[in-house]
Amino acid sequence: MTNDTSATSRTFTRCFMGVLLFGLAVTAVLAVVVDPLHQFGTGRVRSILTGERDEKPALFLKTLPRATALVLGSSKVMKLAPACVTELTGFPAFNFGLSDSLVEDWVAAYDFARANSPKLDELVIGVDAEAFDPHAEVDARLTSSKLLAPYVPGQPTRSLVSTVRALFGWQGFRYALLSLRYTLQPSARPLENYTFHSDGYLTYRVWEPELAGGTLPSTTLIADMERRLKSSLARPTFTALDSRRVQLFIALVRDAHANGIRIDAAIPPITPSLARIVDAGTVGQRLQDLDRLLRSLDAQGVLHYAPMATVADFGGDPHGFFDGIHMTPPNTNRFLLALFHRTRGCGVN
Amino acid sequence: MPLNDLVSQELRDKPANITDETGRQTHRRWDSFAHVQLMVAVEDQYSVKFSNSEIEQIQNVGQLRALLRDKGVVA
Amino acid sequence: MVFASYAFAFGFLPIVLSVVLGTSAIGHRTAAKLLLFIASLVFYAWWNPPYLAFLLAILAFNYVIVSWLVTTPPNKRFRRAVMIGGVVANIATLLYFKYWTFLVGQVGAVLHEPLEPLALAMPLGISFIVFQKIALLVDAYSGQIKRLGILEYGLFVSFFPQLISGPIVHHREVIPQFESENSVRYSATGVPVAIAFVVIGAFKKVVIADSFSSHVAAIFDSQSQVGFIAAWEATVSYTLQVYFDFSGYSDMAIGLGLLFGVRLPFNFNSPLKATSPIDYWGRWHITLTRFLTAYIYNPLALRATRRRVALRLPIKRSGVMTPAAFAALLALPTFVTMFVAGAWHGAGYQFMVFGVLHGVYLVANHGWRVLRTREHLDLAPSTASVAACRAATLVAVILAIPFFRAESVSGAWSIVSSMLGVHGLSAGASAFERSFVFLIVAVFIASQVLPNTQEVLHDALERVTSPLAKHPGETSISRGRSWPRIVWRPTIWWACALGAVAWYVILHLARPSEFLYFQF
Repeated sequence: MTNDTSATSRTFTRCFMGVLLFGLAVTAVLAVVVDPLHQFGTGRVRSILTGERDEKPALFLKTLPRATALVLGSSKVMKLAPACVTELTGFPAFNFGLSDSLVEDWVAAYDFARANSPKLDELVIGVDAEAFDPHAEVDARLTSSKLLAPYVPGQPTRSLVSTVRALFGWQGFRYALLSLRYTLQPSARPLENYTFHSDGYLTYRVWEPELAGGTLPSTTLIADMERRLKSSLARPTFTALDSRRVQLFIALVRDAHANGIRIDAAIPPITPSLARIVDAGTVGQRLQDLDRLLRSLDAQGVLHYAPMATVADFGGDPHGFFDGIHMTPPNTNRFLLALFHRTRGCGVN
Repeated sequence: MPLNDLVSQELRDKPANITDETGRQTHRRWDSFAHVQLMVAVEDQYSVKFSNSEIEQIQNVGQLRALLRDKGVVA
Repeated sequence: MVFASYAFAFGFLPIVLSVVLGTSAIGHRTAAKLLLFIASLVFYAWWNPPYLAFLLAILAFNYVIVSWLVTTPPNKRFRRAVMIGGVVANIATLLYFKYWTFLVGQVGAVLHEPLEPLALAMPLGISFIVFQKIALLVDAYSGQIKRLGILEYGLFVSFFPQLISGPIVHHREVIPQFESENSVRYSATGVPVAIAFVVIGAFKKVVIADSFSSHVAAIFDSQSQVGFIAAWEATVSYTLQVYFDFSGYSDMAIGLGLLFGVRLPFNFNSPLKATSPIDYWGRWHITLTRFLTAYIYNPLALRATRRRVALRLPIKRSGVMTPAAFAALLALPTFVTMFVAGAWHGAGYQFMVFGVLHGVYLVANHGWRVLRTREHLDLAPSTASVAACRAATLVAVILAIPFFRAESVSGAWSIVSSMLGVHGLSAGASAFERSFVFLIVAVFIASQVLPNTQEVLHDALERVTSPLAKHPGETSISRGRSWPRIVWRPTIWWACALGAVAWYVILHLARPSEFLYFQF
């Protein structure tokens, strides 16, 4: 049995601190050098996670002819087909949907597109209540995107906590290692799980083949989503739409209107069983606030609002979702048709 | 009655098994209920009165005997 | 402030450690103690600064009363009244902040009139703080305390490791430590043990307990009737979650106390290995049981027993306790104590049911012991009977736990009834994915087999703490009898292992970003 002398103890403490600090240092270095979560814009290694705020602006610049119709919104709109928008409006379209977008993301995408296009004709906006959450910080993926950062409204400062979290989070560490592994070890398995076409249209690499082959585990996905809606996505502090973000949105809409750009907006519905859960919480109440806001903007003539409380409102299939939240193509096309008050087109009917 | 006999009676154990170390942590039957019963039985037997804090702090027979001694009782 | 947060791990703790221990090292120990007191106040105020006023008010109020009780002779008039007034004032504060909304709601329900309670946020740790004050007041009244320095008192009340969630420290185990020369100063040999406690506790809380919580919440918060299997899965997970969360927290509290040279009492001793309800409450939230026994159960049982003896009423008839004696001396004090234990945990009928249910368990257990007159104490119980006792105790504990977790009695009953098979034994498949069920099983087995933190660290702790810090009556942690026998020593191997675990814990301090879900 060793005696606990001061020397043994000091060695222990130094060794402990050494291992801990070394581990933290390696983690931080990986977070910055690999930047798998696109938090810093400093990644020297290709991340295993898609960074659509880096990819989509680059794709937009390559569209020929330059797209003049934009789809804006969160991941819920990422499968709205630009081809369908073109069929319904006649304009070349680009899907600029960004996952977990806040209003700042929409403004940045819009301003970027305006600056890099001779003109814009149409905005299709899938409006989410979460985009107006006062407690949500501007996404670091946006501020670290070289192409979009100049267009981010305001001077968003990053909180210390979120920087620390980005440097020392387990997920970041894990994805950094995965990204390194796939870079060093070329394999048949593709890097990202979703990819974009040249017009910004999304393909899910895993979900879509599963859906086509009938093996999509939708019950599990929906059960998972249900669990998350009740806990981590519940947003108990979301007691009002953020007034600043509401102002930003109104300014965006007015600016577009003043420049002769037509805006068609709607709130994308989700599968009924999950909608019940959402409606019972704060997000459900904010959706009602949003509905009122959009109705008033419609009444003022600055945008066209198509109220859609449920899937039935656009004649969609209640089960036409990958995971209860993200629509599958037949539903997305029906949604677009309803938005433009059309009954046939885009392969429907 | 000698203290050990009293304790063995309250704990329903053989007197030979009761030593100074027998206590709350070591004897299976010496739970909070038995503790209270034992203390009151001792008070009654030796005509002493313990304070609540003394009772709370007694952990074993040895300490009980010492406490009795402080109160002038040899048990 | 919460221990498992960046602000604490990267900010508060390193700063306070260096400032306080540094000040002590250059000889200004009193200043160091004062700085520690101020740091503890900052810790408390971090969540919500107005709370600090409340804490200071409680501090001041109780200090005035306690010092008066300490300095006045035992036969002075009004001592008892003052003590009772102080205790009542403390209880009233607890009742007000914790139970006011509930009480007002209940009164309103009776009067068929909705009453609007004052919306007052509950100050953190109020349950713990109030209980510690009550103990202090009662002991000061009974002459237990010879003197009380204001700084030691302030530290005893506010010492941040135990301020928010315990352990419920007794003044006689902590104030002498603060008075002695060995505390609030850097001790090279104490730091490794402290690190071990903090890291192991943090792992239990951040990695084990927190991974259970969203799964458990999904079932307990669901509106629909839960099936048999899902109900058992949820309650077993929750039992594990609450154990690892609270015992992990208590381990961290002990470790943090040790960093400042103060030994805090143990709060857990493998309750999930208990062999009976009585044993369970001696292993679960030990400092609470200790407090309730000393200040509620004992006074009630002693008074009832002494009265019975004085009146020469029968206690035993032919060696067996009479039912009347059993009711008066055991059942009643136990039910009152357990009712308080339940209600202390939260405002709501379900907590009272929880308390009373455990009261039933305990009374039944005591009754069983009373009736078993022919048990042979010399024979060690067989492994089979120990296993059976442990299983039965676990089932009893798990059956009671929905009342602790659910939002209401009906919510709890809906889960318990499912567990009892009232809604059919095959109703519903597993509520969790297989990987999580596997995790539950693995953690459960660990809880049954592995030694607890105290067993692993006991010897090391003994070597580095002064005799002053030994807590009389602290449940003796079984050493050497548990298998596998893991004994911690400050070796390089342990340093590296704990360093790696600490790194892993820090990486899990933040909740993962939601957006990653959509990618995979």
